[in-house]
Amino acid sequence: MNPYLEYGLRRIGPDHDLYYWSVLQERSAVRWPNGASLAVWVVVSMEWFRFDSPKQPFKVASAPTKEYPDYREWTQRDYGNRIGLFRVMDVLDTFNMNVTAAVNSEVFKHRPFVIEEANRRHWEFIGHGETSSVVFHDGMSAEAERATISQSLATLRTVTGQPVVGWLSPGLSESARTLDLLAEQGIEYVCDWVNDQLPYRIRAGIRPMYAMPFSYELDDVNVITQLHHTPADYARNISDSVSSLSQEAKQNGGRVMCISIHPWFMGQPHRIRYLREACQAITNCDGVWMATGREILEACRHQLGDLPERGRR
Amino acid sequence: MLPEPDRYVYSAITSRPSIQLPDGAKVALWIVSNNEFYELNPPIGGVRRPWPRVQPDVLAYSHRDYGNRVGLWRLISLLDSYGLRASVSLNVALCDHYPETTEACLKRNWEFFAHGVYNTRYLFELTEDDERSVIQDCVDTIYKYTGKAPVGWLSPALTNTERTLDLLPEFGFTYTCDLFHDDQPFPVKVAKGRLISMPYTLDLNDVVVFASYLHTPEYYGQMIRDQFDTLLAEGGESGRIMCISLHPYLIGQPHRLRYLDEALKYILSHSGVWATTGAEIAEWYMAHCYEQVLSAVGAK
Repeated sequence: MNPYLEYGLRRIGPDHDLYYWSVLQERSAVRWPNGASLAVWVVVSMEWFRFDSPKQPFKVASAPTKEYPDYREWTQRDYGNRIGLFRVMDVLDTFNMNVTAAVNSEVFKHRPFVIEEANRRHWEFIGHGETSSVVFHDGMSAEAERATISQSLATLRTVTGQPVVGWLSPGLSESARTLDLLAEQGIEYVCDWVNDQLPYRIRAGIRPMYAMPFSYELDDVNVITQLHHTPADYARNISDSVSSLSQEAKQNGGRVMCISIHPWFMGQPHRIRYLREACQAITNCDGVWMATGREILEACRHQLGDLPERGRR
Repeated sequence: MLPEPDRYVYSAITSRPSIQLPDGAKVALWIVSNNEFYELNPPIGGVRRPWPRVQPDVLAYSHRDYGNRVGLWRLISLLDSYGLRASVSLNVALCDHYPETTEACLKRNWEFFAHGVYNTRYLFELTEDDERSVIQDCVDTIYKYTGKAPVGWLSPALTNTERTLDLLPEFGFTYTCDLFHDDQPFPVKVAKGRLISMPYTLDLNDVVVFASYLHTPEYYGQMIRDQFDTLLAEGGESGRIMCISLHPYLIGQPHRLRYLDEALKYILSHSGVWATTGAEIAEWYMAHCYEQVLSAVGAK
C-alpha cells in the first residue's frame, strides 16, 4: 500500500479534534440584545514591526516585504501610529463605533500614545502577540510560544487595566499548541478561524473557549492588496455584507460580522473616505448591534452552551 | 541588523505644532517625474535580482525605455498646459545617455533631485567608500548638466544601507524621500548636520497603483482626487504635503494620461494649493518649521 494513499482521518466530522462540525443554518436561533439581528464588531490592528523582520517560515501579509534595510515599508506601517490611526479614530468616533483593538504588546514600548488614545475611548483590547513580525508555527519552541503569549498578555492587562480575554494571532497563524497555551493564559475567545458567522466552541484544554467570527474577506489589506479591489469596492463589499447578513439574520437568527482595519493602510488620505462610507452603510442598516468581541461572547455564550454536543465530531 | 530604524522622534499628528504653508496655502502640491534609466544587462547576483526574466529582458527594458522616448514628452506637454513644474527624480546616468530629457526639464525650471546612477544599481551591501562615490557621482552629474547641486535624495529603486541617511547632509542634501511615515516633512536623525523627510508617496505612485494594487487608470484619477479632498480639509489647521509620483513610462501611456489631466484640473480648481517643488518645500520647512517642530517634540 502506498502510504501516500492512506487516509487515517477519513471519517465523519473534521480531520482534527479542535471543534465539532455544525451547519450554521441548522443551529437554534441566537438572539442579540434589544432585538438586534446583526452584531457588527470592528477590529483595529495596532501593530509594531521589527525592522529586521524574519521572513520565516512565511511573511505576514501586512508585514514589510522588501530587502533589509526596508525603510520603505517599515515607515509606511509606522504612518499608522503617527497619522492614520487618528483619521480612523475620527471616523469611528463620528459613527459611535464600539471598537476592539488587537494590539502587539511592543506598541506599548514604542508608541504608548496610541494605546492611551484607544483606552481613553474605552476600546476593548485583545492580545495580538508582541509584534506582527513573528508568527506562531510548529517550528517555534513551546517555551518561546508560551513566553510570547504570557508576556504580551501581561503587558496588555497591566497597561490597560482590562481583563483581556480575546486573542488574534499575528498573521492569523497558530501552531498545533497555540489554543491550549491561550486557554492556559485566560483567553476565552480566539479570532484566527475564519469559518463561521457565529461564535462556536473550540476545544482548548479544560477551559471553554470560543472561535469568534473574524473577517478575512472584509479585511482592508486583504481586499485591496490581495484581491486587488479598489477602496470603493471595499466599502461596497461591507455594505453588501451588512445587508445580506441582516436579511439572513431576520429569518435565521443572529449573525456576527467583523470588519478589520489597519490604520497605516485604511488611514491613508485617499482611502479614509471609504471607511466612512462603510460605517455609514452599517449605521443605516436596521437591527445592527455594534459590539466588541467580548460583548458578543457574553451575549451569546449561554445560548451556545450545548452546541458541541449537538454537533458531530 | 537593527531592530528598529530609529530615524525620527515619535510625534502624533494630533499633538504637534501647526505648520503654516506660504501664502495661507493648505496643501503643497508636489509632482515628481521619475526620469529613470534601467540597464539592459545590469550585473546580477546581488541582493536583488534586477529583472524578473532572464537577461536581456527585452520586454521589461523597452517598457521602461518608452518613458524616455515618448511618455516624458507627453507628460511635459500636460504639465506645461497647466503651468506646473515637476521635481525630477533622476537616475543621473540618464543625463549621459539621453541629455535631451534633462535639457527639456531644465528649460522649464523643474527641480532635479538625485535618484542614484541607474535604477538597476542598488545600494545594498556597498562599502562606505563605494556608497560615497555613488552619492558624489549623483551630485557631480546633476551639477554638470544643470548648473545646480541637488538638495533632494531618493535612493535608487528605494534601496538603502543603514548609513545612507547619515551620509546625505555631508553632500549638501537637505531632504530625503525614502521615509513614508508622515504627511508633513519631519526632522530625520542623522549623524551630522540636518536632514528632513519629505512625504514622497507610495500610495499615489503610479508604479504601486498600476503594478501592485492593479487599479485602473480611471481609479488612479479618483485616488488623486480623494487624497486631495482629505488633505485640503485637514490643511486648514496645519499644512499638508501632497505628492503625486509619476513614471513617464506608465502615466505617459496614451490611455492613462487623461486621468491625470482630469485630476489636476480638479485640484487646480480649488484655492489653497501651493504648486511647488521638493526643494522649495524643504527650504520653507528648514527656515520656518524645523526648529519649532524639533523643540516641540522634545528632541535635541
